[in-house]
Amino acid sequence: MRPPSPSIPEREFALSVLKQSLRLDGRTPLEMRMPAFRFGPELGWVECALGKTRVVAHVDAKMVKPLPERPFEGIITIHSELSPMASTEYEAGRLSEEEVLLARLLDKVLRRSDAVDKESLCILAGQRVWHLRLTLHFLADAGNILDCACLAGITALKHFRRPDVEVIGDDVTVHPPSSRAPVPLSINHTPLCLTFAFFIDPETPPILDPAQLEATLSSGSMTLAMNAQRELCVVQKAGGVPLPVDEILRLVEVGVQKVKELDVLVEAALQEDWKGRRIEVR
Amino acid sequence: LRPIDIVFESLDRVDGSASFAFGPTKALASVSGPIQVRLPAEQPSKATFEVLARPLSGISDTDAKSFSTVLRTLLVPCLVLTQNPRTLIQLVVQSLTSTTPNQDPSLAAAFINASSLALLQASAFPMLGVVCAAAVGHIKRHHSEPELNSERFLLDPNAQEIRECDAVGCVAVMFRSRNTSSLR
Repeated sequence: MRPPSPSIPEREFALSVLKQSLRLDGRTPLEMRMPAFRFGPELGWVECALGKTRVVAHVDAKMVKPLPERPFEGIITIHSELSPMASTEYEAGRLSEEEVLLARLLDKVLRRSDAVDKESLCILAGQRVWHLRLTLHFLADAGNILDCACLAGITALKHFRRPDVEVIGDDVTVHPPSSRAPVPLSINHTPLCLTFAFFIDPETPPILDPAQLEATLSSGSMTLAMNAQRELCVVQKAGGVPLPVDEILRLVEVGVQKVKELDVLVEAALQEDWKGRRIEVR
Repeated sequence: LRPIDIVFESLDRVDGSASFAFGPTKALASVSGPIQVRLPAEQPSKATFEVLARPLSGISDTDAKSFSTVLRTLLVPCLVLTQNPRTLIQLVVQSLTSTTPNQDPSLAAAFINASSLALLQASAFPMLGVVCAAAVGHIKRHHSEPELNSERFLLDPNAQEIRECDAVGCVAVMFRSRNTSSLR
């Protein structure tokens, strides 16, 4: 059930504080919460936390017959279902508006931007390809699950290792992880998402990574997905407050800086986890 | 028993949450309640108790739905639902390992224990008791000499031991205030 809208004192205080470029949790308007990563025992399991917002991403792979119109490409599917665990406002089985926007954005950022090279997932052209299944579980929604989900998703794809496959003629041998080291996926680039929230009052600056209350009070939001090579992957602005062009360009510049920092963080977390896993070299 | 790991997760938007792990088999449960209920599900004299079980990969399928009903029938006797009529108590259980509860009884046991812990952490509605569960496996070894036939029970079998067992199951016991009762 949708929780009641914020009370009048909450709303007035929050909006007046945002007008002075302050935020309720002490951040500056363009400051993002520090992401924290936790990796599971198996490869491809990542939990990403942005403050109190937590998302778990899991990747698994199996071999299937490819689609007839694309015999040389692997298949990637993304499952992102919001459950009442994330918040009591989401109901199981009923597709809310946020869920639709979330699914569309994840599809654009993780699948259509070609972050993972699909042709490298091909084993035997026309007969066997890898089907990667990325499942996202939303444990807690304290604002900005979009960014958290994209971060968890791309980190899980980078963390995952698929079994090594040997093809001799038409004979396909899958080597289990115990005999041959599993192989990482070939990731072309790392798209990372940033969400900005806007308010009706023109004097209130746009804020990055809105928290729960800020997102409820905002009257528009824009999501940018970029990679560290200064390439813009996705821009999503669905309705809300109209924005002038120079404002958008300014935020893109801000976004570029943030994405570079985030990229460094993600790489550092992955390296640290990889060091902790015992790898046998034969 | 494999080493048990219990964490009270304190998820932000729900009333109580806990994760329980038997070694690598881990489950996370969250409880919200009593909260507003949808009109079709409203009951005039007691609270509606809803359970949702979700697997790690893919979307909830019939396996998950069948386990949700089993979990619901198991936990209903330990809740006093008549104290909060026309409300909803919602339990969501998330599997954090790749097995399914119908194939892996230790995951079923982890689900049950995580749910009990989450219900206790929420402490928002009265409960009669706590349900705890563990998986048990039965191995019967046949030998050419009849004297060496052995059968024994294994507590909390792991994946390899489950393959050796001829029967596995999950045993759940409800502990009430003074003495144990109801073995399922």
